[in-house]
Amino acid sequence: MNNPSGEPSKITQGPDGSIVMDVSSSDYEDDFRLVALAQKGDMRAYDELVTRHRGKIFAMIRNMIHQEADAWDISQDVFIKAWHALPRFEAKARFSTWLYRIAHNAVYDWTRKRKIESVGELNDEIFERERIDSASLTTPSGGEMPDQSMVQGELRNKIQAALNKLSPEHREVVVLKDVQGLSYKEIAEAMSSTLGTVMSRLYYARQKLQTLLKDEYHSR
Amino acid sequence: MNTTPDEANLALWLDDELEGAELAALEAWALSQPDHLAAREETRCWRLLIAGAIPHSEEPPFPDFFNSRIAQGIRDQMPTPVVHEKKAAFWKSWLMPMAACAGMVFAFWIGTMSETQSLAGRTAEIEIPVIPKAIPVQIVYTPESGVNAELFASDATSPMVIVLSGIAAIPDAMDFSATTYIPREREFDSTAGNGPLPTEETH
Amino acid sequence: MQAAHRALIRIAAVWLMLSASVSAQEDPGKAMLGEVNVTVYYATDGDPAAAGARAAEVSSDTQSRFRSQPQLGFKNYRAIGQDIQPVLRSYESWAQPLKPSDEILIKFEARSAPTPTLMLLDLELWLSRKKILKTDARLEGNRPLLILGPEWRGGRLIVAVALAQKEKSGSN
Repeated sequence: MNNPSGEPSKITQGPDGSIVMDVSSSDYEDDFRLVALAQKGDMRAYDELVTRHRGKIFAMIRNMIHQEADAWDISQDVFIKAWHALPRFEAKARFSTWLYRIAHNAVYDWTRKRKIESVGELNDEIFERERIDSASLTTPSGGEMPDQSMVQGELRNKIQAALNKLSPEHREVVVLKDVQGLSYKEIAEAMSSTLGTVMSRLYYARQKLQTLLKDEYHSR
Repeated sequence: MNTTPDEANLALWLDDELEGAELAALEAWALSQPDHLAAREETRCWRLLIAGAIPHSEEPPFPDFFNSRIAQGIRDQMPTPVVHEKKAAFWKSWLMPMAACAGMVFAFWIGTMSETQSLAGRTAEIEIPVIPKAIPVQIVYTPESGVNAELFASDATSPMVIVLSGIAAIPDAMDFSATTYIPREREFDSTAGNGPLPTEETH
Repeated sequence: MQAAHRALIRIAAVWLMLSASVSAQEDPGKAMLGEVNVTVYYATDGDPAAAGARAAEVSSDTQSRFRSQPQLGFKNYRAIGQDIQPVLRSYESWAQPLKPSDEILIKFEARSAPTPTLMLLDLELWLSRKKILKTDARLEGNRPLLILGPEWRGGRLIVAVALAQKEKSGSN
């Protein structure tokens, strides 16, 4: 199975130096139009919504749990749940923010459910994910790769290893803010949290990551 | 602005989320705050570093299957008529099991009574709603790169067979002689002796 | 008269459903929907003794069943391990047919409510602690899932996943 290359971030630098998320207003308008159709039962419109947003949701979940196969499953659960919750979606928030909230809950549920409770005596130690061979994570397909890609790949691995050292809540704010490009307000909505909590978590998480990645961070 | 802005606005400013008059005011204040300007630059560098290394969007593997599984999942969860249950604490006692037994006996008695009626033109005695079912599609997914899985199902009665290729062999030195349970009489129950025997092929 | 009979049967059906719902109220997620039998076989065209002295001979029925599938046709078969685990409503289960070895593991979880003869499962095969295969398995009364797995000692391992019948052959 090939690991598809991700889309480069839509975070761009403006002429004044500011870093912003590059999303056109027509994207949001299209979303609302498709949502309105889907709310009436139009499965093709919903399929279009899935296609538009599956990359973001899959990337977010994968960055959170680092298990590609499970991220694949959980991403589908998100869209199935979103379909059933469509009647409750109001156009006050962006559809993508609403999806991130469902994804947040799905990741939380998955993390809780990972505790295996089956009848019989199994050696729980065997199934601790930390002890599962890390090669079970899908890695980019082998073969010759340009030097730049290898450097980027290594950097990505280092950043993800550092993210793994954070608690799920701290990891999530970094993923949503610095990878997915959500605003503080959107993150607070997605995580059902307050603006203040998001801000303090992000501050702490960035400080910790910058310490863990100081070699990478200061060399750029 | 001469006074220090509140922390929330400062955080928004550091991440380029402030707009309008609040942005202008804070920018004016920051002109005399080199430390805060440096902090903003550092935050911008950090965000560029992360955003450049980790993609914000990745197509999931097998994207067409991904979508069709979602569609199937939605169909599988189509609501069916629900019998509304009322919680009543006293049912938790011995009364419920007795009621259940009585119900079973009663239903059996009614059923035997019904069978004495004419069989010609009988319709189902309990109407079961017809819910359109999705055509089942077997999904086979191999997360490991280099591993392939092929699915074989010759007909509706034959076992489903998945053939894996590209997987590493188990070392010959690995020993399973300590296996806790080895079936001696009954193997994978669902095939041994059930249904017509298949034609044996010799090699 | 017929209408009255239909009404009475419906009432009886409701009584039965209510009693079933009460019994699973403690943790409905742990309600057992059925059991799955996972058996590992060693299949070879060579000497079956390579599977070890404890490996068991396989019934002629099972051998015929294997040989009816072109992909699973070998000269000799031996059973080398089995595990039977329950299918729970909301929890995943792991089968470890070569216990204490975790070389082969099967993880499964119910996808939907089963019928008396059909169980839909999300099923994963793990080899050497790596997730190798994921599939949505349809296990029917007389229709198992057979997975031709890794090579070992000159043969291949076949992992058979089937609905366990009522009389458990025992595990662990």
